[in-house]
Order: sequence, then C-alpha cells, then structure tokens
Amino acid sequence: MANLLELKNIFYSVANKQILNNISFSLQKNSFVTIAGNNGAGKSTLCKIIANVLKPNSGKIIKANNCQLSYIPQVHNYNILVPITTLSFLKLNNKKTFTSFENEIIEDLKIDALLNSQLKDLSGGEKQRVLLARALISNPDLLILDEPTAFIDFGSKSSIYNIIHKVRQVKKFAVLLISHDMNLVFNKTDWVIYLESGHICCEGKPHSISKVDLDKIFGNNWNVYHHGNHLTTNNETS
Amino acid sequence: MEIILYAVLAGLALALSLTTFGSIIAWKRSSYLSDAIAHSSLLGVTLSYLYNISANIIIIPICFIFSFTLVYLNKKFNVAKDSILLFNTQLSLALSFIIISLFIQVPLTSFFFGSILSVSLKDIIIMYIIALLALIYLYTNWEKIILATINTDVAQSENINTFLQEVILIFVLSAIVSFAIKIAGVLLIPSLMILPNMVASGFAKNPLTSLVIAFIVSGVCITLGILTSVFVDVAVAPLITLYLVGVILVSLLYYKK
Repeated sequence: MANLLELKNIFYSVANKQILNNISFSLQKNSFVTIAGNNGAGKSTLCKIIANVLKPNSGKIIKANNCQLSYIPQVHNYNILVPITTLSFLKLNNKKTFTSFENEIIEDLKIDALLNSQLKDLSGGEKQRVLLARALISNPDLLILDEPTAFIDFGSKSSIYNIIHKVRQVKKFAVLLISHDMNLVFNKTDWVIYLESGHICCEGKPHSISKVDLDKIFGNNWNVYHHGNHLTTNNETS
Repeated sequence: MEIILYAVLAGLALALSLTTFGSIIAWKRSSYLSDAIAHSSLLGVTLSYLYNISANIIIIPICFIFSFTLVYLNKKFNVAKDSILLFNTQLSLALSFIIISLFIQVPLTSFFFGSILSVSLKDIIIMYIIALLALIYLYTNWEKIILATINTDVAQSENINTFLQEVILIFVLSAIVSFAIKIAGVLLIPSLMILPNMVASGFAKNPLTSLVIAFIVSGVCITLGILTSVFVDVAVAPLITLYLVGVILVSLLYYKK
C-alpha cells in the first residue's frame, strides 16, 4: 500500500520539556492506526503536529499529494459563542449538499433531529457526534480523531466505531485514532502505536504485540487473550 | 438639519464597520481588543497633535503594534490577554496624558467623546469606503473566519492560516478606528463594537442574522443619541452608550437561552 503520510524523527518541546522524542512512523492509505498511551504521553500533541496545528521543533512530515485532513480535537476546546445551527456548522467550509449516503451518516449518528438546534445548546456527546459527522461528510483522506467518544455514553461508544468502520468501507480513508477504549477498537485497528513519555515504546499489528506490551496498552484492569488473529478482553473489575 | 443628517450617516457607517467587526471579536472572546485598539488610538491622536500630522497616518501603526503585541505575547509566551491589555492600556493612557499636559492645549473631552456633530461630507465618504472594504474582506473570508472562531485547531488543520487571519483582522480594525476616533471618540468605540452584539447574541440563530441585528441596534441607538443631544445639549457619545445599555437591559427580559 502507498504511504499517505510519513513522519521522520519528529521532536517537539515546550519550555524545555520534551513532549515528543524522535517519533517516526508511516501511515498507509485506508489504514486504521490507533495511538495509545497514558495521560501526558504526547498523543494529542502528535495528532496536532500531523494535523498542521503545531509545528515540530525538528523532523519531517511527508504527506501524499492533495492529502486532505479532517481533524477532530477534544470537544472541550470548542468556543461556541457564535450563534450557529448544527446544519450550518456541518456545511461550514465544507460540502453544501449531502448525498443520500451522507444523510444516512447523519441519521446513524442520531443528529438528524438536532440539525436546527443551536450548536451551543448541544451536550458534549451530541457535539462529538456533530463533529464526527462534519468530518465524515468532508471526504477526507485521513481522519484524525482525538478521543472521539470521550463524552459519549458507554453503550453508544461501540456504535460510533461501527459507523466510522461503515463509512470507511464506502469512502476509503485512513484513520489515526487516540482512544482509551482499547477494548472496543483493538480488533478494528491495523496498527497500534504505544507512546510513553514522548517516544514510541512499542508498535505493531494488534495480534503480534507481546503480552507484556498488551498489558501496558490496556492497563492493569484488563485481561487480554489471543485467539489466532483476534483478541478478546475482559475487565477484571467487572 | 444638515448637521444631524451628516451625523446620522456617519454613525451608520460606524455601525457598519465597528459593530460588524466588534461582533466577530466578541465571538472570539476577545472583547478586550476593542479596548486595546481604542486606548492605543488615543496615543496616536495625541502624537498627531504633537507632530502636527494626520491622525490616520500615526494611529494605524500604533493600534496595530499594540494589538499585535497583545496577540503575539499571548500566543508566544502564554501571558494572559487581560494582563497584556492592562499593560497596553496603562502605557497608552499614561503617555497620552503626559503628552497632553506638557505639550498640547486641547480639552480631553474631545478625545474621549469625539465630534460626530461636526463631521464633514468627506469624512462620511471615507468612512463608507472603509466600511465597504472591511465588509468585502469579511464576505470573501466569511466561512473561514467563522470556523476559526469556533475552533482554531480545526481551522488550521483545514489549511486556514489563523494567525494571519487574526493579524488582518487587527489591521482592518486599526484602520477603521483610525478614522472613527475623530468622530466617535475613545469611549464610544468599544461600546459600538461590543454592546450591540450582547443584544444580538440572545436572539440570532446564525452569525449573519446576528450581525444584522447588531447593526440595527447600533444604528438605532446612534440615531437616538444624536437626536437627543440636539435637544438636551449633552455629548453624543455617552448618550449613545446609555441607549445601548438600555436596549441590552430591555433585551434581557426577552432573552432566549
């Protein structure tokens, strides 16, 4: 598969604190890459650098020609003093008419009843669905998602990932995901990168990652079992 | 009669430019910028008196430098915007008062309240040309400005240069204020920029409607302020501000959350 994006030796620091330390990896067209790691590991910073929001101190990012990005930052970063309806926001700097499949995305994400509501009146979870819909409609080559289900109730989280999977079947785009819902996305992802203190601690295809590394990725509360190319998990606390 | 007509026309030009751009900076949670620009323009006016040169020539760079410093220091060093604003405002006011008291024999009220009743036809034409240019910039960049206002990171990821956008916004505002200061004065400029949006934000369903409502509120209050000042012989600027505050208070009764 052709590379959509390649990061070479990315370093990023703020006020003498090294946030990212020699990050290199490539992302292929139509692939699904998940970045895991504890709080402060540098996951969001890495996404911002790829999304063109931050500039690295050194290193190179090579993007394929005409690579169109769609980035969904964490939902609490939104300033919604602007009076704007959900529908107008979906069309803002984006497509003005939607295909039947795109209308289906809106229905699947359960925001069709919110189209005339003000964006500022939506709950955190509803805003996340709207942001995801806007990104999915925009026909990206790469969708960058920074904890897209953080405000979504546990029962609906799985359906969000299923919708992304469904849209990918039709629209063919790559996904770079930061998520703490590893049990939900692990079997959907093609590649997992685990960040620790700003550097890549381990990476690989989900079924090829060692038990030691899986324990780091999932945290202490999860038991992870290999079944051939598939993984199952159960929560020790449940 | 001609004086009142000219004043109202000038006031509507102010509403078109100041209120429109003021709404955008209020949406960006940057209402402090209106104060920063207005106060730094006071320094520009005093320097123009001191060196006997056109106020416009000196106000635009001063406003721009002060506002740019504000945005740059905040972005680069993460210094709180309100602290930088206070620094700019105090510096500008202190320098202005020193220059005025030492070298210029002009009453302070003319700086604060402007002279909308003595506006010339040439001033009005210039104000409308500036308003038109500002609105053309807004129209051609509308969706990008609104997206950057809602989320800077998303806008940047969609190849919108948000820093350049902010610099252009400050430059346009500086240009508007450099011409408006003579007419509106330091006190009225922030009022016209921020207060009408407070009314509009309670009723508008979309950004464009909000701008229209803010413009109407601004225009009506300016007209009422001018007409009232003819009858009660009080400076126009504080009257307009009082009308704006009155409309805000009444609008709160009907505010839809």
